[in-house]
This record gives sequence, structure tokens and C-alpha cells, in this order.
Amino acid sequence: MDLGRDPRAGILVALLFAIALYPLLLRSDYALGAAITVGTMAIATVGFVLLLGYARQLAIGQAAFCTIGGYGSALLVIRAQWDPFVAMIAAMGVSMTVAYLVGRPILKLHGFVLAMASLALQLILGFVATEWSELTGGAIGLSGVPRFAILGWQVGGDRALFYVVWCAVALAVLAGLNVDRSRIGRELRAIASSERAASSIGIDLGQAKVQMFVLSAGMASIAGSLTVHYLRLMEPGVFGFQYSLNIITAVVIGGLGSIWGGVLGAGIIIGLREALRLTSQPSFEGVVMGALTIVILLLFPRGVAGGIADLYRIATRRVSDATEKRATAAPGDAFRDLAGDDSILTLDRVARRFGNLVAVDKVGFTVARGSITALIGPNGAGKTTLLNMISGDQPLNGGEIRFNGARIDRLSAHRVARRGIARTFQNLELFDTMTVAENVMCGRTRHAGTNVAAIVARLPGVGREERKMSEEAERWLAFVGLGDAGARWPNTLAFGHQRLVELARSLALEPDLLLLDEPASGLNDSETEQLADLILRIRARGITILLVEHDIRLVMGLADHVVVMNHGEKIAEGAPAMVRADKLVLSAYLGA
Amino acid sequence: METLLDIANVSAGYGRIEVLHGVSLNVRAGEIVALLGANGAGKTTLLSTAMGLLPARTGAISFAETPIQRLDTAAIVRLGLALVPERRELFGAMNVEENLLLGAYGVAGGGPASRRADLEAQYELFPRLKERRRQLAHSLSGGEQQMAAIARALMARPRLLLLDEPSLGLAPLIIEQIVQCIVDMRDRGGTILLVEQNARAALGIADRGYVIENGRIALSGTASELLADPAVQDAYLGGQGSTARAMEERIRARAAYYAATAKPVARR
Repeated sequence: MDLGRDPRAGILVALLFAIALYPLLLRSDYALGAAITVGTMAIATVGFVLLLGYARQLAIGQAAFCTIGGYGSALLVIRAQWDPFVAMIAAMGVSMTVAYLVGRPILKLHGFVLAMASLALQLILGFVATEWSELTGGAIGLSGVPRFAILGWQVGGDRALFYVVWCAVALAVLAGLNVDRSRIGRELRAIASSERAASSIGIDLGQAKVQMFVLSAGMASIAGSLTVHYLRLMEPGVFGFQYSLNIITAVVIGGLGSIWGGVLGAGIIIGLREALRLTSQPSFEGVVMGALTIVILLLFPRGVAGGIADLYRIATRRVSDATEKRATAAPGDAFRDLAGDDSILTLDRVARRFGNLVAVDKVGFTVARGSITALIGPNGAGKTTLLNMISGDQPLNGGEIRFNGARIDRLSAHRVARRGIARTFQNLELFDTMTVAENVMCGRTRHAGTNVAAIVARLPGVGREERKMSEEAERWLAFVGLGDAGARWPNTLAFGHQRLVELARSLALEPDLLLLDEPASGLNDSETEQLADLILRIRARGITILLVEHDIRLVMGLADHVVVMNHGEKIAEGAPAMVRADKLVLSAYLGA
Repeated sequence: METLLDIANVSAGYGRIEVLHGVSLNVRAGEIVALLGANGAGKTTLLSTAMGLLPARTGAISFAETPIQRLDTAAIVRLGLALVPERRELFGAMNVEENLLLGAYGVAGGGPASRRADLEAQYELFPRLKERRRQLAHSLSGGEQQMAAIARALMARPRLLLLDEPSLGLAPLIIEQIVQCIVDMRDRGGTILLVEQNARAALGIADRGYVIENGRIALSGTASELLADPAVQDAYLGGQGSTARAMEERIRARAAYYAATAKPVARR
């Protein structure tokens, strides 16, 4: 971001000034208190944007972690005389640990079931807080929480606390933005767009969701601790269901798609509530809030932050050429030994049933390393089901699959991908919420070396890795012949070109084995010949190919070995010429 | 013959990218018209623009003399235009018959009896679908899904059917069946605009054809004229006088070339 020219930088500086001057200009305790409340809530809502907006996990009991933070701080400071800052960090550690332990099982749930499970966690904690009165003071709670302090430095007074809180907001926003513009941000959007495709390129869905759950829990916990030091007390009602609801409303109004949406939403929610109190109409709070939520969402379906982003885009629309990408050199065709005669993939009596239907019936064959092996047969013969079982998308009902000598038939899809098997999909599974180049960058997950902590803190290595991923993506796009399409959106490309994007994304994994599911469908004859050449160039890089395809010219021209399936059974296999002469194959598939 | 669809000088695109630059094309009642072109040439974009799924930036589109470029898709369907999209887009969790009945949604004057008659007409055209009427759409094979998508579109009683790549992902034998179904539809008085990568099959059954290149109509004529055109043969039929076998041989020669030039390096 060029600080001199980008208007967004100006807005950011103005915002920082406004926050810094706020307590100096508005001197009332009331205004200060409202701003602290906005700040503490904003810390929690930024975390919630990561969880709901990015990871799409409707875990709505965020106040549970505020509760842990609040009680943790209050107890450690009052009972154990800990330094409040240390207590806050310790409570955050507890919250994140609880989130990790709880998250693994409950994030396997989806949609409303997950919402109920996360809410149950909050209710349980509320119940414990009320009933375990010798520790928590029961319904009366804990009073006499001292003012906040950082390693002995007393934060004397609300004005100082205001700055501490807003520094914490800034850190939370920074952490959120770091995630947003990193590989994890892309991976989360990939998951939201197609879980199937995301796992096929090695993205661990469970891990990504749990990471955001833990991160958002940490932020909620900080919000809880700081709130308690502002209120100077903690009781079960502080972070009740209403607080969770406020967090949800805030991010929906503010905008789920942007970290800033969390801050804006918190400001709007608290601002409205306080404005209603000032006009001494607190009893109408629920009605007015509800009505305003609807109005804002009608005006800005993507929340206020989304609306502002749209306005900004319209205001700064430049008539520049979006596709002025320089041509990048394709990865050098490093030839590998193609003469290897050992097998890379072995299927042994592999079976799959759907109810009474036997989709794949004890099929066995081997794929030689460095070969192009084709799998053909009529529609419904079980070819795609077989590919799905190899890639870990579907479980086996019998038999085993070995890759490089090791069993892979019990591994989940992302583990299979990480072992070095990439695939494309018959009906295309591109991520529509990101550009073509970002789609391909997602394929580099398998080779990513940075972890979530480094990304949140944006350590120097993260930027370097980003640039390298971006270069890799450009190179693979050039390799498939789409060097100038990186900045476009996948759904504006023709079907055949979208296939090539998917191919580039799989190649970015640098797999040992590539599964292609009908790559020539939607291509005309000359495009099919170009595809044949591309497949040969891929093989020349030492990548073994298993090809499901109906274009018989492509299959017979390319394949070293052909396997034919019909009604779930293998009916023939051998060299192309042999298979073509097979009577069974002629009647079932090729036609006379 | 009455002109059903008349597209005159239409431009359209996505965002800043213009895909169609002044395309003109017409389809007369009772014809099969083939639309050929490479990926990215604008074939699907043209169909989307005709259906009102994408706005025409310039030019005029009329259907049976009625201007339609300002109408929304639902109104265009009511006038008698129906699209079978590239990816079929069936309702996977519904059975075949439910999918078909949804195609009749919004058809004027369609009482239960006439809907039943329409349904039987589709089953007559696609006997396979009748066998599978209670089967969930997502469990159908590719060819059956294509048949169901076409039948669903026909339930709206279109006067013109737009077919986007009906052969996509289908086995050779099934492609022959689908092609035969398209001929049957025309023989029953239907009119079809056919977008197809399989140029040989498309021109084999079409009356006329258009070739679209980079968003412009590059060629048009009767199907036999296009089949005989050297440029069409080179670009879409695998070279002049080419056969399926010749293309296969070319691919095999390339494979042999790659195998011969491969420099052995250490395996990973």
C-alpha cells in the first residue's frame, strides 16, 4: 500500500487520529465508557468475523470465551493477586485450550447443529458460574476487581484504559488482516467455496476451522478480561446469551466479509444502544435494533463494510487494462526417467456399494510409474467413483489401494493430496470467490512452510512465501497456456479454460500422480490436440497420469495402458490396440 | 419460414471484459442451427444473452417479432425460449419426474391433465427416463442426466430450444443416442439452436451453422457448405479430410516424440 497515494491510507490515518483524540474531546465518563465498551466488543467481533465470515462456522456461543476470560482475570487478580495483564494472557491461554479441546469434536457438526452445540457450551459455563458459588461468588459474582495494570504499570483511570483497549483492537484487526491476506485466508475462502475441492488440494478442513475457532476464542477472552477490568466486577449476567446475540448482530450488520466489518458493527450496535438510552427510550431498544438491522441489511446486503467497499470500488473505477500481465516463463520441462517399470498405484479388489447398487465390484489394476493409464467405460460404469476412492473422497467397502507402496485407502482426502495425488473434477470445482491466480495459489498449500502463529504475527518469512506462491501460480498458469488470465474471475472464463485453471491448480501441488476426470469434455478437436500435448508435457515432468476420458482418439493416442470398466466391473485391460479389438469392449462402449 | 430468434449486432460481456462484439444470428422455425467455436469464443455468452441472463450492451434481440432484450428470463421463457445449460443443473435431490414437473412451472394454461400429457410426451421421446422416473437425479448416469435436462426444458413447451453442449462428458454410444433425440425433436416440429464442440456430429444433423471466433461471427452457411469449408475443417474437424483415426495417430506421434526426447534424470 502506497501511503502517499492510496486514499485508504488517508482514511486509516484519520481513523487513528479520531480514536486518539476521542477521549480528549469528549470528556464525559459516559462517552468514554461507551467507547471502551465498543472497543472490548470489537475485539470479540473481529475474532467472530474470522470464524463466521471466513471459516463459515456458525458457532454462536462466543460469549462463552468472554466468560472464561472474565472469570479467569477476576479470580487470578483477586484471589491470587496476579498482575492483570499476566492474568489476561493466562485466561486467554485457558480459553484457547478449551476452544481447541471442544472445537475438534463440535466443528465436525454443520450449520444449526453446530450453532446449538456451541450455544450449549455457553449455557453450561453460565450454569457452572452460577452454581459453583464458593469459587465464582454465584449469581452475585465477584466484585472488587482492581484497575487494569500491565506488568506493574497501573492503568489509572478510564481514559488510560480506553487507550489500552483500542491498542488491543488495533492488534486484533492487524492479526485479522494478516490472516486475511495470507494463504490461510485463501484456504478459508476455498473451504467456504467448495470443501471437496479444498481437501483435494491438501487443505485440512478440520485444522483450518479449529484454528479460527481457537483464534476467535482468544480474542473473545481478551474482550472478556478487559470488560471485567472496566466494570470492576464479574457476574454470570455480564456475558449472557444477549452478549452472544449482540456479537452476531454486530458482524452481520458490520459485514461478514471484512475484518473492519467487526469493528464497524460493534460501533453501530453499542452506539445505537447508547443513543436510545440517551433519548430515555431503553424499552424500545429491542424493537429499534431489530428494525435497524433489517433496514441496514436491505441497504447493504453484505453489511456496512461491504457497502462501503462497493462504493469505494465504484468511486475509484479505473478504465485500466486488467489483463496486462507479463508473460511468465513456464516451468522448465525437467525431464524425468520415464522408463521406470515399477508401479506407483495398485488397486486390489476395490469395492464400493451404494445401498443395493454395486458401483465398483472388486476392481484391481496397477498404474506403472511414469505411464499414462486410461480408464474408460460407459457413463455410470463406476469410473468416477473409483477416482473418488483413490483420492480419498469416498470410503471403500472392500479391497485396498496402495500408493508408492503404502496403504492410502483409509486416509482422508487432504492427506492423500499431501502424499502427492492431485486430481481434477468432472464438473469443475473452482473457488468462485477468488481470482484465477489465487485458485492456483491454493494448490501450493502442500508446500507451505509457515504456520498460523507466524501468519497472525506476519513474520518476515510470510511475505516471502506469499510472493513465491504467487510466482509459482503464474508459472503454472503459463504452463497450461493461461498466462494472461490470472487476474480474472473463474466464472468469466469459458468452460474449457476453467478446466485448464483446475489443471494448473492440481499441478501447483507438484504431485507424483495426477487423476484427470474427463479433461477433454467441452473441448473441440484442435483444443483436444493441444490438451494431448499438455498431458504429454506433464508426463515429461515425471508425473504419472490416470485419465478418465470419453474421447477415444485422445485415449488411444495417449495411453500406454487402458483399463475398461462396465457396470462396476473391469471387463478388459491392456495396450490400446488390444483393448480396441476386444469384442466385449466394442459392444459395451465403443460401438461397432 | 418464420424467423423465431433474431439476434442483431449484439455485444455483451462480464464486467470490463467484452466477450461478444456485434454478433448477428437468426433461427427459423423448424430448423436445427449449429453454433460452433473454440472455448472462450462466446457461444455460452450468446445463449445467456438471448435468455436474458446477461444484458445485451448493444443491438437487438427479438423472438417471433417481439423485442426481448429488455425482458427478464422468466418472461422470455414464457414467450417460448428454453435453455439446457452446459452443466445440466438438475435438482439432484429430486427424482426425475419431479425435475420434469418443475420444468412446467409457470406454463400458461397448464392444468394437471395437460401436464400429465406433456410428461408422457417426454417419456415417449426418452423411454429411458420413464424407467428411471422415481430415481434421484444425482444418481443418474451422465447420458440420463442430459436427457432429463432436455426433457425438463421441453416441459415448458418451448418454441425454440437452446442446447449448450449436450454431448459434454458422454460416452460415444450415448452421444449417438442424444444426437438422434435432437433429430427426433426437430422431426416433431421443434426448433433447436445447438452449441456443440463435437462439430462433426453437430453439422451432421444441422440445417445451417454459424462459426463464432473471438466474439464475432466468422462464417455462416448451410451445414454442407460449412462441412466442405477448408477453414472449418482445419479449425474444428481436425484438418482437411481428417478422420478420427488421423487425430489419434497425430497424438501418438507426439507421444513417441516426447518419449524419444526425454532425458533420463534421477527419480525422486
